[in-house]
Amino acid sequence: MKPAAGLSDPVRLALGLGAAVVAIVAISAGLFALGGADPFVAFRAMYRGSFGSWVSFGETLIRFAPVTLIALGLVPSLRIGLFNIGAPGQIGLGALFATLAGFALGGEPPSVSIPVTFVAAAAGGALWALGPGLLRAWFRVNEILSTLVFNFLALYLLQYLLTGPLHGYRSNIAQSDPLPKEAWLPVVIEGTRAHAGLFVVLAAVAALWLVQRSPLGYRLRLFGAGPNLARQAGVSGPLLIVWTMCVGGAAAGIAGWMQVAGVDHRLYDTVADPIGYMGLFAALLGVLHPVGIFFSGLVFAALLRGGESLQIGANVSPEIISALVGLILLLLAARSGRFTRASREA
Amino acid sequence: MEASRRPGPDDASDEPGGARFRARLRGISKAFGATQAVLDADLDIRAGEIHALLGENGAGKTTLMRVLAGILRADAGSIEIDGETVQLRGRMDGARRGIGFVQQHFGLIEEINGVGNYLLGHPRLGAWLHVERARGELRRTAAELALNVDIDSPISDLTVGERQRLEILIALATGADVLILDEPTAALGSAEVAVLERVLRRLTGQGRSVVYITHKLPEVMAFADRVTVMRRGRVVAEVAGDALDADDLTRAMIGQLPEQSEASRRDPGNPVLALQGVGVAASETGRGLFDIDLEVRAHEVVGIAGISGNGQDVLAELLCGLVEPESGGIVLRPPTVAYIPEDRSRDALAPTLSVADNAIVHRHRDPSLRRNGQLAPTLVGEFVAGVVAAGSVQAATTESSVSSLSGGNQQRLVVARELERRPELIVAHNPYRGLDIGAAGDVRRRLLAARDGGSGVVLISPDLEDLFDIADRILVISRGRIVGDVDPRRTTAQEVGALLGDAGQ
Repeated sequence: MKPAAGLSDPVRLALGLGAAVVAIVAISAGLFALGGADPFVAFRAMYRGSFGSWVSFGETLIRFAPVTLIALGLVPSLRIGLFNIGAPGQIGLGALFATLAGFALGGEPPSVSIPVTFVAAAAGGALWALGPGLLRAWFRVNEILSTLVFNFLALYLLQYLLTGPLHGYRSNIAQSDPLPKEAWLPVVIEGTRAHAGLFVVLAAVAALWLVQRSPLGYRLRLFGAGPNLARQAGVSGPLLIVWTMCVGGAAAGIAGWMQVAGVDHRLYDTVADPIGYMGLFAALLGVLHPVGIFFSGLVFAALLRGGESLQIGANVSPEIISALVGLILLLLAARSGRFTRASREA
Repeated sequence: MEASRRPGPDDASDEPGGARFRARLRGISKAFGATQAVLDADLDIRAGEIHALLGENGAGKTTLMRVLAGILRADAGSIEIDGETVQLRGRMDGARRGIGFVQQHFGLIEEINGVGNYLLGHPRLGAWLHVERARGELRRTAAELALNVDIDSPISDLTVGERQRLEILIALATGADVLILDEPTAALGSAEVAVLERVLRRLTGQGRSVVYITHKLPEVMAFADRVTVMRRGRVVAEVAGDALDADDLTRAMIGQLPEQSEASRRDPGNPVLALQGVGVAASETGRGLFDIDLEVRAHEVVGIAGISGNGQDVLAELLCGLVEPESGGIVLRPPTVAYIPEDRSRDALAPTLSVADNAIVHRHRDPSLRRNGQLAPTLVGEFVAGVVAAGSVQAATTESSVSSLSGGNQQRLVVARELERRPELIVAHNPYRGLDIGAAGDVRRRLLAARDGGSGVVLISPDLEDLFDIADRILVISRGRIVGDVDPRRTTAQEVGALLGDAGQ
């Protein structure tokens, strides 16, 4: 059973992404010119920084993996019109749980340490989304506000723990001790930092593809488009709200695990920077389609990585990328009406 | 078939006594989406008359008067006020032309007093508030009419009758020559009704006109100098006061009731649903139900008559198991209930999804549509084709969006989807609403076929004609209670109309 726009989906996807890329290039050229740089020099710097060598491609991939995974995890909740902007907090909790599990295991072999820290991270992220999910389902508390508040709670919790009980030995910033090596994710491209978390992303693309064709995916679409009708078909709205929020939280938690176990190898309070909100943007730019999200995730990862190269390559402040992302979001918002559904009133 | 006595445009000069026309509406039509609220309606309002606009709920009375007051713009037709054809661009435009509209649910602002409300609604409201002049104008108008109204206390301190008199006063002080009152007695006690009548008489004595919107026949008989009857958006009769006849008016209001064909009837079978003393608490979305006893049998159509908003929504959801009783009990609950809700796009369809997605709502968990746990496109396609064929739904493809279908085809799809489940009980709430004759006939035929097939049917409708058409029993609902139980073969429309009228008190 294909969705309503089934036949036109690939076309819509390609057009959407193509238009987005053109818009991004045009807008960023303007921004670079405003910032006093030659746009061509800036683009070359960004390209070299994100795809120019295996090392820089690896750097793009370690941003691609968490952003794309979060985006894929947000699709079920977006289908029913929920905007979970709590990824930064859920990343933080997932990273915290993974760190605690890693320390608790204290050097068990990777065959134990890696799966256990993975599950702990998923549980931590899901737990942080459960609160806003329950509040939305039973008390109609707007999930945008509650997940935002939970982001601050998570940040301050991490800051407290990392300057207190978890504070690293002889360290003068908010960070933990290094994770035992057995819990580190193996590198999959020799000579880069690209880690095995990429396989989780591929599995998630496949899983979302399957779910969209399942009875469950149908229920999500039905509830999103006609909540009253869904109720007559025995679909429980509150249940859908809670578990789709938790799926998004778990995905963000796993993204936190990737940062801790795959990149930083210790916990920082800045673990969610700067990928935190990018997942939601990638989900919207990828029109909630697994393949679309795969590519939009790559676009955002390349922007993040390329932005960092701007400083060196073109003497442009990397903050210009934040302005660029903001403008892309405005473009997205212009068409986001299709994602806000009647379920908001349900 | 209709006792239409429309005056032609040339009748003016023939009018005995040469009564002047204050307002003339010609060929007014107004549609809301697919619903034709008013169709080609003519109306003449003479100086110095109380003109009753009579009709059932939803007949188009209020819509027609909103057009005259400038609140709504007609899709077609013309408005003539004091001999001049006018274009009204808003309520203020209407007020400037001397049309005053006292709405059923008053438009006064609770926190401020009568003078403040007068100033706010005044078409000549300038940059500066002349409070004392406004108070003087209100006092003078009140004195002329001997209207006793408190214009200095906040509205929230006034009784309903006082608020209504204040609205009348404000309309008159604003310069209304034609005063429209929408269901003015709906919230009044009998003493206040008497006061209202005196006020209206005084107004017409001064040569002003009153349009009196109502569905209550006794008031029409008591007050009106002239009556225009509307039914289903059309003006079906105009009668002068000296020729008023209650039976004629009822017949015009309700329409010709079709004879039921006895041949198609069967004796009711076993009960499929039984409610005993069921109560449901009122919620923010609707009124409650009290002490509902209801039994529905196989091969039976039970009609629920009543003016909209008397608990029909909650009753429908209760019968479908979407609302649980707070007190009393559901003694017998059918395993499968088909539901045809009143608001199709809100409750019966997922408008942005495809025809196919909308057709498999109740079957998406069914193993027969799955292969390896996934919905299998071929199996789903066969099922959907079956539903579409059974319902004679005209759709380009089953993958097109359901909102691209006409209202009639949407309803055919809903009915086919619901009846495909072979339900023991069918709850149909105003199922012909907004449909053309062809689609309405289809829906009716399918309901009857399901009844013949052994389903019990509950047909909820504000339209007596729909109920007299196919119901075996008619229950009257008012304020969340069942207040009448009649046999349509032994009851006249007038008797049921009287029950409905009482219900509106």
